[in-house]
Amino acid sequence: MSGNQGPAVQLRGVAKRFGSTTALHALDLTIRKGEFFSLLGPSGCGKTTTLNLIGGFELPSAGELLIDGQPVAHTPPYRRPVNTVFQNYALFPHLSVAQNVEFGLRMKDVPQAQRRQAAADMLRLVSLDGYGDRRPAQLSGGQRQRVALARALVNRPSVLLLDEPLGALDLKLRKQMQAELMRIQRQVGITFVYVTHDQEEALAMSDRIAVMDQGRLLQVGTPAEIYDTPANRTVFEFIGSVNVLAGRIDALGAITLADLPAPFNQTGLQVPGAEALAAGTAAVLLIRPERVRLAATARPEAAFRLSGVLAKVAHLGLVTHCTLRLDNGAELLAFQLNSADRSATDLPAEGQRIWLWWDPSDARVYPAQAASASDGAPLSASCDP
Amino acid sequence: MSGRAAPASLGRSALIAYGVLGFGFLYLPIFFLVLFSFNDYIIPSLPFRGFTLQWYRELSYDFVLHEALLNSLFIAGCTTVISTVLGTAAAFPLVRCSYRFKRASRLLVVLPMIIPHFLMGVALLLLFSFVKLPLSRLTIILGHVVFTLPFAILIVSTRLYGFDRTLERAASDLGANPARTFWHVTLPLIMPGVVGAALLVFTLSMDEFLITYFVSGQKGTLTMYIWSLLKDGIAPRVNALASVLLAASFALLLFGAWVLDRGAGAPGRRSRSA
Repeated sequence: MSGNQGPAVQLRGVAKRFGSTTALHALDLTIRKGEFFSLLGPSGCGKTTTLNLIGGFELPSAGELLIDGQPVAHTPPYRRPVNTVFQNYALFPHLSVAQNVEFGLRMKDVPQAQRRQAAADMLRLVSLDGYGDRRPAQLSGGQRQRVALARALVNRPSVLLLDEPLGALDLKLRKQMQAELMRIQRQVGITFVYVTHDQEEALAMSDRIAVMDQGRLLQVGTPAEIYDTPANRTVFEFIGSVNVLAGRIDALGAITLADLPAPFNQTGLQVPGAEALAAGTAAVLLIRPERVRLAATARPEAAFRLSGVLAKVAHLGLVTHCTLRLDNGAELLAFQLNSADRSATDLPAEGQRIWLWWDPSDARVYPAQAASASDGAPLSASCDP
Repeated sequence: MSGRAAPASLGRSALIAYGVLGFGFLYLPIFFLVLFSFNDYIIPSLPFRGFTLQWYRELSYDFVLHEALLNSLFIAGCTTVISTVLGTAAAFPLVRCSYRFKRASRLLVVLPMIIPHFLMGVALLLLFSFVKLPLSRLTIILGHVVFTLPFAILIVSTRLYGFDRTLERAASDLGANPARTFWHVTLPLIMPGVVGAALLVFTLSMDEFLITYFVSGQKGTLTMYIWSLLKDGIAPRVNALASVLLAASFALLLFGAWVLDRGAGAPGRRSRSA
C-alpha cells in the first residue's frame, strides 16, 4: 500500500435520479485506500448505481465525486483510474485470453513486449498460467472470472470495482473465489469496491461494509459492527436471520412484549435501544436465533427465562435450527452450533419441553414503524434456507 | 426399421419424390444452361451434339464483353463500398437510439426493397435529368446504392441487435475512447454482418438490369451486354458466360458462408459451463 493515506473514493452528497425516480439520495461515503469495501443491499437499493457512478458509466444528478482526491464526476470512464470486473465478465470473445488481459495496456500504448510480460505476470497471479492462447469461450465460469480480474488488475487502477462477480458461480466455487479474491487483494494492495446482495459474502470478505436500502446509506462499519450493533431494524433484518417480537415501551424505558406469554407481556425488559424511545412507543425487539440459548432445565442465573415446546429440529450439519413453540402459541427460532462440547444430541427430543433465554444485551429494540419489511405479522421468524 | 408399416413408407417415398421434384424445378434450368454451354452446336437445344469449349474460347476474344465486365465490377465495387459503409453507419441509430418516429423511419428504410426497379429506374432518370446530372457510371452507382442500401442496413442491424453492449462498457472501462472502442471491439464483432452485407450488395449490383438500363450512359454493364446478345437469339456464348458467372457466384456464396460461420455467435457462443 502506498504511503499516501488519503481516501481512495469520496462521495459528497452524490445523488442520482432517473426521470422522476430517485435511485440514490444524497450519499456521503468515504472509501479508504487499500481497503476491501463492500456495498451491500437488496436489489434496487442503489448499490449498482453507486458503482456505476464511481466507474463513470452514469453521471451524478448532484454532488461531488473524488477519486484519489481528484474530482471526476464528469470524467468519462476511459479517463478514470478505475477498472471494473463486470457481472457477466464481459470478456472480448474475439480476442484470446492474453489479448483480453493486454487490452487496457494496449489502449495506453504500452510497448508490446512490456504488455506481454505484464499480462503473463497477471495470469500467473490469478493461477491461469499457460491459458493465454485460449479463447474466453473455451474457459469455465471460474476461469473467465479470473481472466476478468486479471484484465482489470493489470492496469494497476486506484480502485477496482467488482459488480457481483461471483453471482454466476456455484456455491463451492464461490467460496473458493472469495478466498482467492481476498488473497489477491492483500497481494496487490488495490482498493476493492465490491457490490453484493449476499450478506454472508460481504461479512466474510470485507474490511468495511456499507449497507444500503432504497437509495439510502443505512450504516457503514466493519463486519463485526454491522453484525453486532446494527444501526436500525432494516440492517438488523438484512444481515442474518432474526426473531421479531412486537411490544411497547413502558414508563421505565423498558419494553413489554405483547408477543410473549406472562409475565413478559406485563413486566418490562431492559434492552439496548429501549431507553432512547419515548414511553408508549410501539417497538420491536430483535434477537438473532444464534443468540437464543436453550437448556433442558431452568437456569436460575439467567436474567429471564421462558419455557416452550421444541416443535421442530432441523440438522444442517454445522448448526441445528430449532423451532420453539411458546405457551401462548408464538414461535421462536434458535440456532445451536454443533461444536465439540455441545451438540444437537444434547437437545431434548421434538415435542419435549425446553427452557430458553437470552442475554438482554444480545437483543435490540427499534421503533416498530421504521421497518421496511415484515410489518404484518406481530411475531415472525425469518430465516435463510 | 423398414417395412414395418407399408403405408408410412409409401408416404415417405411420395414425400421424397416431391422433394426431388422441387429441387428439380429450382435447378433444372440452371443445369441445362451449363450443359448447353458445352454443347457443340450453334443453337442451344437437345440433342447434345458433342462436347466443346468453343463458346468459352469465344468469350475470351470478346473485347466488348471484357469492357462490360470490368465496368460491372467497377460499379459493383463502388456500390459495395458506399452501401456497406453507409448501411453500417445507419444501422447504429436505427438499432440503438430511441427517438420520435423511429418505427416510421425503420419502415421507410426498408421500403425501397419492395419498390419495383422499373419505377425506381424511371424516378432516378427523372431526378438526374432534373438536376442535369449526365448519365454515366456515376449515375449507375447512385442508382445501385439506392436499392442496395436497405439490404446492407438490415443485415448489419441483425448483428447489432444481438450485440452485448457491456463489451463496449468494458472497453471504455479499460481506457478505450469511443473511436478505439469501435475499432477494437464493436467493428470486429459485427464484421460477419458487415462482410455478409458487402457480399450481398456486390451480388445485387452485378445482377441488376432494370435500374441500370434507365440510368446508364455510354458504357453498359454486363447484364446490359447479355441483353444485347439475346436480341439476336440465344447465343451459346451467353450460356458460357452465364456458367462462368454462376461459378463465380457460388464461390462468393461459399466464401460468405465461411466468413459468417467463422464469426457466428462469437459474442454469444458459450460452449462450456454456461
